[in-house]
Amino acid sequence: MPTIEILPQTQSTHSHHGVNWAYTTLPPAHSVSGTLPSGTSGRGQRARANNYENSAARQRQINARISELEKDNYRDVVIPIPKSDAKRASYRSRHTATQNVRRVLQSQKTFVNHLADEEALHPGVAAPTSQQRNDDTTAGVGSDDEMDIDTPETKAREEEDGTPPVIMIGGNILDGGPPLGYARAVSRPSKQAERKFCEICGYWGNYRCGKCGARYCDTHCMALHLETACNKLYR
Amino acid sequence: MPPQTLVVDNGSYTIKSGFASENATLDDCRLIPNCLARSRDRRVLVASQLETCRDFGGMMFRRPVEKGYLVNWEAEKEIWDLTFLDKESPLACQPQSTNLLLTEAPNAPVSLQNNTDQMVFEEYEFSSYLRCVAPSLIPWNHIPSLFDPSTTPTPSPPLPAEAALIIDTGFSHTHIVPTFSGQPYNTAIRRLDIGGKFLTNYLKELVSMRTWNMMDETHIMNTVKETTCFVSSNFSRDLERCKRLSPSDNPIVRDYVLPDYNTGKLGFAREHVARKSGPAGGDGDDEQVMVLSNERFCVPELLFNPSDIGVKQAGLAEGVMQSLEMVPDQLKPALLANIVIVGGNANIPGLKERFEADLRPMAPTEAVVRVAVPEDPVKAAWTGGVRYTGSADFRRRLVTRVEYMEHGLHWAQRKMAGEDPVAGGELKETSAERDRRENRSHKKRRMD
Ligand SMILES: [Zn+2]
Ligand SMILES: [Zn+2]
Repeated sequence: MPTIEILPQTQSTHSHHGVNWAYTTLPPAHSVSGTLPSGTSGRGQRARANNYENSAARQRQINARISELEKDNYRDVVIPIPKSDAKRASYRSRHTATQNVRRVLQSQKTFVNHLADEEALHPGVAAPTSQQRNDDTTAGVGSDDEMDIDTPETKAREEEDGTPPVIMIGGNILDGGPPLGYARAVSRPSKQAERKFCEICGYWGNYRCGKCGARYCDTHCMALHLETACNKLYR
Repeated sequence: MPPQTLVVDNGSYTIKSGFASENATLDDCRLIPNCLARSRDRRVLVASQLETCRDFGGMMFRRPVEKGYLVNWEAEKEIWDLTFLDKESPLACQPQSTNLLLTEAPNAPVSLQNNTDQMVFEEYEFSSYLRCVAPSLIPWNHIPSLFDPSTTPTPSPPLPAEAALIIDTGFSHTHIVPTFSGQPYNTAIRRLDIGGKFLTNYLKELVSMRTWNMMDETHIMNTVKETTCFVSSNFSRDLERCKRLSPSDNPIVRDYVLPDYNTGKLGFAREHVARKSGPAGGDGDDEQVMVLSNERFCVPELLFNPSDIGVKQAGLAEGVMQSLEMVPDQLKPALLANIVIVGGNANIPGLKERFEADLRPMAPTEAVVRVAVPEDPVKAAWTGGVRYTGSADFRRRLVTRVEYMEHGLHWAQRKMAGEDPVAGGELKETSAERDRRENRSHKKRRMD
């Protein structure tokens, strides 16, 4: 018996789409919601879809999908530690664990719990902005033309005992400061416009479903979308 | 200090581990799955026991490292015990006569660092120990020879690269870490929440939406990803090809023949063969073929355009520029000329070339941009760690178990951070610091 089922609703995406259809090559960022021959997107519908796409509900759907993609398993599962065998007892030299060890081993906290604790202990420690840093570090440094790390102003000073060299800038030892912490180290959003893709086949999603706001690329994918996925894309 | 040092790069997907030696090679580093896995017949396999498994169908995973950070010691202890204490393990050691160099991801919560340090000293009783950020070990490899193979490594004692920008793109996430003399430049570290797991799950989702339901087949889809995915050098062109060309005319289309666990046949990728798609026909051909087209490059594309799926973070090249904003101007050129990409995703074909092409126009025109991927990007932190154990800096930061017992956790952590707890005399602790160290807040006295 096959261990994998084929989904009944969908079919190969490569077979025959795009018959009698003029594709657009507009870059997706500038794509507009066009009017399909079947006339699904009237002005009012388009406006609703547009609002929907930027709505909090849509954002919640996207966030739910993202956290779905971060999971280790598709379904929730509890995998217990296997029952200890006789051999395991001999792993340890001592027979009693310290209080710390017992606490650590019993902890069922998740990463999110630990982050929340960290945040509670150190609320609102702002990261230095790039402007502040540049002001700090360029003070007393030579001209901007000197970009080499080996200029007289930025010198690697090698310790004689073999410890790593210390990089000097304007008479100060280079120091990137303490860690920012998890929350503040995340990269900012991109400056690029978001690209939109057909949610059926992955091609540019130049059209929007008037009912649910999902993107699709042509009549073939639109039909598939209406038949199988409309309003239930993100489960 | 005992002569034997164990270097453990404790990743969320695999533990990269082995004993340090002057002539250590990549073969001395073992990859141990950092997970418990449950098979369809409900057997639980721990760490390297997975290698004995032949049926990965429907396999479920429990990973002690969550989002890149060691969170669950109940599970990690099971894995470490089997890996480092079981006499039959090739990595078996007597912790009481072994030094441990252990890695963590940047910006780990202090409570998790405390837990790890306590387990290392109080449960495993390693003789001495140093915990450090994994990307900070990369510059201890000989970086110049990555860019110019004719240069020869420095003789011992090893020294780190003066400046190197490390991109560590692993299973849980991707970090951009500028380093100077092997020290991470903390305020410039940037994280992108896309890693190998996310890519595998995305591929799984796309395939399940389009053809086969693979939602429970994480292991197979990880293999499919590793054997078929690539980073496109021209995304629009390849997307057009996949739209316009028939599968037999499209050079991007590949077949992945799914493994058959009933007969023990392994899965494999091949050039596309035109045939009925879907499950076996009645002609005796029982191959189950997954046809892959734009999925092959749309999946790794997330590393460059996370917003394609709604993740509101910059991709690799833009992330590097955000990181560089925090670095003094006169040091930026040295970083741009020494970019090293490590971690499992560095193995995706085309990734280095695409990254370079994306970054070049963002960097100042006069700057030299050089990008390298080490021979084995997964083991690069380990090999760097091995060289690091021969350095004076390692010996200076290493904390002995005796010191830990005598001076406590906070003292040990300051020494590992490179401060000089001895010269400073008695450490003055504020109550907030003590709370932080002892992993407690006033809010939180609940049972956990
Ligand atoms: Zn489509
Ligand atoms: Zn719809």
